[in-house]
Amino acid sequence: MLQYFPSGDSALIIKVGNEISLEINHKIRALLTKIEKENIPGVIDFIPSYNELMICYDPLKISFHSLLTKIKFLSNNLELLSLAPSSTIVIPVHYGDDFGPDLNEVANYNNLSPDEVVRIHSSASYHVYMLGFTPGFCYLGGMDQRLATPRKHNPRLKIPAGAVGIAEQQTGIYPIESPGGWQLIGQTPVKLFDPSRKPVFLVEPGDKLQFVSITKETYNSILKEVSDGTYQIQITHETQTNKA
Amino acid sequence: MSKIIIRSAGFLSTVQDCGRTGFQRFGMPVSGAMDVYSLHLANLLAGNPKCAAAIEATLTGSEIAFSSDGAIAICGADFGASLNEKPVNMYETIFVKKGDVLKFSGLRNGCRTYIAFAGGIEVPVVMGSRSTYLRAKTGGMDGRALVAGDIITLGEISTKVQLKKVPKALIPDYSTDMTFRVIAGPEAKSLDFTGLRNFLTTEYRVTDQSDRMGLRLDGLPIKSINDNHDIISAGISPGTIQLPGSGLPIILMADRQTTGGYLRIANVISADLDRIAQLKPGDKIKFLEISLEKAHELFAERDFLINKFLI
Repeated sequence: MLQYFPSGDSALIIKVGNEISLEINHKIRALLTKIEKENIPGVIDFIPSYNELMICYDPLKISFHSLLTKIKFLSNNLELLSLAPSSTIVIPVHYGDDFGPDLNEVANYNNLSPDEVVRIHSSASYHVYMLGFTPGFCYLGGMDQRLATPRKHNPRLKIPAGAVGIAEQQTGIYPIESPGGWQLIGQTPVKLFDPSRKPVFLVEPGDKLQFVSITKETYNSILKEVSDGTYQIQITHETQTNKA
Repeated sequence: MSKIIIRSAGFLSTVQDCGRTGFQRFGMPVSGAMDVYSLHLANLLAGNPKCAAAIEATLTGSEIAFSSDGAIAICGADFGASLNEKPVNMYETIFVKKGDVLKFSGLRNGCRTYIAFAGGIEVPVVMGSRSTYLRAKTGGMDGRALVAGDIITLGEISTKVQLKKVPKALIPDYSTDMTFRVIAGPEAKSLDFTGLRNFLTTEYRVTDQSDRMGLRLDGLPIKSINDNHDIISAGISPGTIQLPGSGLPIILMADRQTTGGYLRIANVISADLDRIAQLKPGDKIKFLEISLEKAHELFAERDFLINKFLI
């Protein structure tokens, strides 16, 4: 059951469900693709999240009711919408030592060895439910619950861009330098957000992430390629089209 | 090409235009002028398109020297502007000569003033906008606030700038009207009766934990049903009023995160959002609920007046 309601006088929300699930999130993505294709005059931006799609509009160009009518029409037969194939983006990570100062803490907390933490973390495929919090920050689903660890008691004032961390049942990558309380287990040389690069953002909602463990030497050589602008990120595209 | 020289930047001065849309799905805040209305007026007076990049100065003005003749305009907060030590009027075109110096004596009302320059500020366009987003060091002047010594290039002026004045009726009064109109938010129904009553009938004070991201308010806590304040993280729009666990509301502004996990109880209407940008810590405000239709009417009316008098 879809629900529609305003968020202020310049946004319309389509709510697809009341929980976090892949099925609901796929529907959000299918809706976004379909509505965006229409190029509705006055629609200026979209914010897809776990279970909502926010459509930002200019009220001087389109009325709420006219937009709502169009959107209701477009979201008919949601189950028949086809989903664009998703991409899997490979994120190379150097785990442990100075790059992941909390790897041992995460291992101890979960009665695992640091190597097991790395193996478990880098063997899953993570679904990107949405981006938010900071530019390029991905809300990921699919972390093995054997790695779940509470946040640090004392948040760090400065966490470098590229830090890979765990907080409760979530894992994520800091795209820009920020303060934060996540347990840091590694670091990627790849930039999730780079305003001077095209594309500016490496990951989009609906993508999948795969972490790969790399040595310090590989980290340094990738870092150099990234700063030279020659690094080719590994992306695999799904060939099959799914139903939403 | 005309240039301006920043002699002192004041408390916080940044380059802003109408913001960076189109990237919110990637978590990129819109940024842009906090008070878009004043930005529009200042630009129109300086002979620019409404959304040209200008300087947003916060709480104190900046000192600016001009390297060639040109035109400027100042709209928004009154910081006591003077040109070569002589007071100048806000809300009208000001013609400047090479060597002139613009200064500000101190805050008289409001919080943010907009200084527009004929030709607009020509910092590089990053992701479709010249706006500064400080947290990600993006846009504006190398992604940072202005500092003394900055030399800023202005765009070419295509036609001669005419003297224009903003009619009195279009000049906001920041000192008297402290009631802000809202429409009910996506989770308005999560408030219990006393919570809703507190929100809509009592005064809230702007705290000093307020910035371009949002204004944190203090006052009677707003109770939600079952004390639940969390939602599944979802989109936030301009003027969204969030209710975190403290029960004290936050009004989200230009540098707001694109998504959040607190109840979205209401939204300040677009026609009133620009006056929110002019609030200072300590100011006391009240909220009044209106309908979405009324909000759109008020916004369209204001746009009509700007177009009628200034374009």
